[in-house]
Amino acid sequence: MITALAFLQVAATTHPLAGGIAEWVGLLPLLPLLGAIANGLVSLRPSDEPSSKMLPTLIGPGVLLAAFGLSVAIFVQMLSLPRIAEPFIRNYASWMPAGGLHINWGVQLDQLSILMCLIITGVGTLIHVFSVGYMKKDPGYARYFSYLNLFVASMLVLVLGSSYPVLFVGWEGVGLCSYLLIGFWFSDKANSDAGKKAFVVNRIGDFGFLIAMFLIWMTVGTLDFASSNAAISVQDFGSPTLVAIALFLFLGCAGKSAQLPLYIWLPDAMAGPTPVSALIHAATMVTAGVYLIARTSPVFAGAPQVSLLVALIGALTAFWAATIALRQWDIKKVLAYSTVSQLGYMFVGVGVGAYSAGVFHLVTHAFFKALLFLGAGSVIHSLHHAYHHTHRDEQDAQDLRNMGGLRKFMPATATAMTLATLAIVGIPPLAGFFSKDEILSSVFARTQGSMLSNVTIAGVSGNTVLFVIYGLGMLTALLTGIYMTRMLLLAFYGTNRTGASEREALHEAPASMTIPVLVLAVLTVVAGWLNLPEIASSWSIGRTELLKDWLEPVTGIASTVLSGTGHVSHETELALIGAAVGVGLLGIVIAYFMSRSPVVEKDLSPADTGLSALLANAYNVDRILDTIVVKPVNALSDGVLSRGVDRGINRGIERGSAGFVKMAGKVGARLQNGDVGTYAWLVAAGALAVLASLTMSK
Amino acid sequence: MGDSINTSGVAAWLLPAMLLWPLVAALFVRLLGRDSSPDGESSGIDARVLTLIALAIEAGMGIAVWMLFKPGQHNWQLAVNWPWIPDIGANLTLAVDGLSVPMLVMTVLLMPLTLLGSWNNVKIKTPTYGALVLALTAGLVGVFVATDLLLFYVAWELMLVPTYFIVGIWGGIDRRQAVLKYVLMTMVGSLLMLVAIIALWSMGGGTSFALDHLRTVQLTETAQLWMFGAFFLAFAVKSGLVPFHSWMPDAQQTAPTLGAVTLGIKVGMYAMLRFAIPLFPLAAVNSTVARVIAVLSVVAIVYGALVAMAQTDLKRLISYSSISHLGFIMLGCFVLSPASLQGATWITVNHGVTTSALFLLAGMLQDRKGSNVMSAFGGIARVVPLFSIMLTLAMLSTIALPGTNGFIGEFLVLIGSFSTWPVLTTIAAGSVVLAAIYGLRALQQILYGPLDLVANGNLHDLSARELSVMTVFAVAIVGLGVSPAGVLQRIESGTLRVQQSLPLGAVSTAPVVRVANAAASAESTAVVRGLSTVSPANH
Repeated sequence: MITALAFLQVAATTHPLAGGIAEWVGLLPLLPLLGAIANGLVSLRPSDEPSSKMLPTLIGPGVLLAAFGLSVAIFVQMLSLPRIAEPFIRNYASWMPAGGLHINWGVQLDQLSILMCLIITGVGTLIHVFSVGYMKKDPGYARYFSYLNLFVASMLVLVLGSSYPVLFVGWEGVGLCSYLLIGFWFSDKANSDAGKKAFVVNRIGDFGFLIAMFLIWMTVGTLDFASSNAAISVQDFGSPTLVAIALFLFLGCAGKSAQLPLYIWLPDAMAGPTPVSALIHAATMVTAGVYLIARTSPVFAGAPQVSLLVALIGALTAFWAATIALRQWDIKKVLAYSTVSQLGYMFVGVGVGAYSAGVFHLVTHAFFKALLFLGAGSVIHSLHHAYHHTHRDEQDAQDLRNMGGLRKFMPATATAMTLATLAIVGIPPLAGFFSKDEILSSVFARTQGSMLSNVTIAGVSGNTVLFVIYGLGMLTALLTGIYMTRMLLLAFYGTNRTGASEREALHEAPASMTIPVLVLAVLTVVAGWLNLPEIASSWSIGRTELLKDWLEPVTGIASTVLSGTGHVSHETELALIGAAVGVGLLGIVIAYFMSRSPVVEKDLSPADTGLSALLANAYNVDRILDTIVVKPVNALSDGVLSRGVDRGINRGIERGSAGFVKMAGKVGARLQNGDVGTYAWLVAAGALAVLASLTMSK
Repeated sequence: MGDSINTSGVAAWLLPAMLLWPLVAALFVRLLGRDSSPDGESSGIDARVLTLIALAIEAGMGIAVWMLFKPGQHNWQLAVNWPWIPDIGANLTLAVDGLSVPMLVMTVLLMPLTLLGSWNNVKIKTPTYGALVLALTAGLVGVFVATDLLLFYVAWELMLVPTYFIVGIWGGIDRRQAVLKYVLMTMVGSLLMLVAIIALWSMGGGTSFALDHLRTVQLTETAQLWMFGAFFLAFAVKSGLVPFHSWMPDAQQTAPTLGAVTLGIKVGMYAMLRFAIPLFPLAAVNSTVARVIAVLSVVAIVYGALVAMAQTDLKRLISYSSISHLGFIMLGCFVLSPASLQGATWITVNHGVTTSALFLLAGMLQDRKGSNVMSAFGGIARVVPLFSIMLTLAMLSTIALPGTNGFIGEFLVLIGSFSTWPVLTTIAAGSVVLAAIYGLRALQQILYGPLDLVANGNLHDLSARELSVMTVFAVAIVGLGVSPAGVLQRIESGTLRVQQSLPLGAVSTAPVVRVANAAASAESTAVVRGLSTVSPANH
């Protein structure tokens, strides 16, 4: 191990990035960490002091902007060099040197991690700026920025960590910040319940991550990404150990990235402030699972049946969540289920070995979903204000039935939200079209002969599974068109249902909130050019497959292994693209016709019935889990063990030593009579005397 | 391994001084100290101040031991060997190694911090209290520095007496019943150990109680198994291994803060590594013993966590969480792999840090409201933000969040045990979910939700004294979690000695590093390229 480490150090000094701006990579997580500490200290001061607002406003977004600037500088340096084949690794200190483990505080800079850094710090900066306006009146302003900075620091550790344990620090760190931010308004029990649920469900995934680490350590004797990925050799291909490692890693991903059946925490996580939902529960943290699979792509390529399972679970999750989104009335819940659904697409991408497509969708989704959440935040902010204006606080500011026609009051937000909706539905030339299409066409291509089409899951041939995945992907595209258009129409079009006197107080958000939304709108339009499909090379609209080429050194080999020779003709590909856009448009049309049935404000609406109620209640999954998991575990803990077994043991011990107790009871009685203090002193002195006499008796 | 370094000069007096100073100081505190009277007119010196000074001097000596200790040398250090009772061959042999130094230093630092952190927890009969606390310190120090079994036994029992009175006098409801149960259960275990010690002494010729001598006594495996059983029982009861744990929640719930903290120091697990395993190596590596203990450990981990989930009293919850953590130590101890032993020792030390922080915080709540029932609080995070930060941090350490000291130990134990007991280790790792449930449930009940009791709106946040004590704990929790290397290095020099005491071939070693040089770029790409050349048709 020591030799391996020394080797890395030598390799690092000769790395093309050595000596340049990339040497400062360690500052990336450090900057927001310092921001978190500074804001944390400010939050302990009385909140009526002017500095308790001014300092966080400067520090919070400031450290993010600095980190973004550094990421850009490093990225530019990487762009200026010829393709960098090896990750740039820097070990700052030894962390756990124990029992043959030599785990270092090390960071790893490569094409994938810098891309993630750009997204995290870039979108992060925008959301921090948005938060300045959104959280302006909150008494916990400084505490909020402290948590948000700490989140970004953890997220950067997650994507920069050079080994599984260091990644795990970020992995659980983002979980902690998510917990703290979901329960940010902790006076409401529902909010702190939601935070707790998020942490506990994530921990189920973290358990999987831990076991995967143990298996990797047992198998290859190292936990560094570079050496463990490299150690997977031909002999391991499809071996039970590799399959187990991949399965346990995926359990971790399913927890963090809200895939079936561990998605249940994400809808509840909407209890947090809306910018938090945008940053953590849409753009960054929930995509950590996608990142992890890309990071460990050789493991998943070596276990193709697990890769296929990842894609299948992703497709099922995408479809499942999309159906629930059809009938949600809370604007944030629609977006939450939509996020679960879109994450499903990303797992389809990385599952079928189209790592760059999965990561591409991660990037575009970060833009348009952050936009959708921030836009929703502006809407909620405005409605909240309106209700507050007329002291009708009981009104639900997040309910779509209380919105309608908002584009008259919030034109900029409405335009941006419309663009983002078209993007997520997959309408060209917006970003979501390119990334979703890349995923779906990759699935189709795998059916034409690939490693994946040759494996089986539970006796079903890989090719059949791939067709099922493709079908679910197309169905989900249709549903996405329906539920997103429904949300958009309910919120921004038609007549306003906010209330006659409240209406006057509706307003566009302040500049600190609209500017980030508009920047994201621009990115939503242009981000597709990051990775134009190969077929576009004849259309002369720009270089194709930029992102795929960029990620080639990280995921290229694994991608080649899984995709094999499968290829589709240009005619078929065009037809597939046409079909995908077609179902999206069909969804929009269906939603338009559905929107003709009248909607009234929430308080006057009848309760949902039948299938609508089932969807609105998200298939009652929470209630079912409560009955079959939560209640039995609590009964075991409280009724069976604590009140039953533990008391039984206690009584047994007491009875078993009844004689002793009786005898000692007399001592106890004497204790009660005399001066206890003196008695205690006498015994202590006696013990001393005995000790002393023994010592003297030589 | 009689390979001790002969110590000379001032250093030779360090360990004896650490053992005797608290006893001498106890006398002074009892004779000179007075209760501080409520009206501020004190008729003498506050006994708590005297005790604190005495404990601070002890802590200073502990720091000196830490500085003088040479972590690179795998042998007894600062050793002294004074005749004590020559007729039976008992000597005052004191020494430290990598196993005991972290425990010793942690404990002597913990004592003054705990006294200061629970300053107003005990206000009456403080001269007696101070003397008992110092006597208890001497007992704890004795256990960690004794390398003579009789001396160890005396120190072991010496801990019992002060604890009995500290809990029995200054405890809460049901204190007498709880402390009697504690004393009886531990004494039954200790007496069995005494019998085993005497048997071992006579088999060794009746000439010496020295650990290094008794280790060389040739014993059959059966004899080792019997004696190991006696030692194991004594140490398991003292540490609260399920099903011998029932004294622990009762005693820790009712004990004054300092009592709860000292009951939480895992002396039993230190003694397991120091005495039980090296003295009876054939028993320790016996496959049946190993299997039984591994199962017991995992049962304790899961059982403790599940029962902790049902607790309504904060101190009982901490106690059951500590019962769960004991399972990790036990598992790590008897897997005997390098990582698991270091992890087990790490938890033995750091459990003292984390659990003490939690008991101190629980005590601070109790000092304010007279209760530790979690439902009597709720929503107080806004009222007592500093307290909330500290409680959250200590709880995160308990649930082993990476970046805290709690993670290091659990990670090392689990990763070191996995190849030996894959299924059991997987079950044990599942407790991370249960720990999150009880930990966050406690935080939620105390800190979050609506502030539904008006009286709680007037709770005082941490005072400057409390804040400074808790800051030390916070720094330790994060500092040790981020930078554990210095302590791990010392622990390693100790656990290596434990491993050397085992029969050859019994120790599971670290996995063969298959890829020592695979990091080399050329080779690695070649390997992966090899993977890519596997054609789909082959599978």
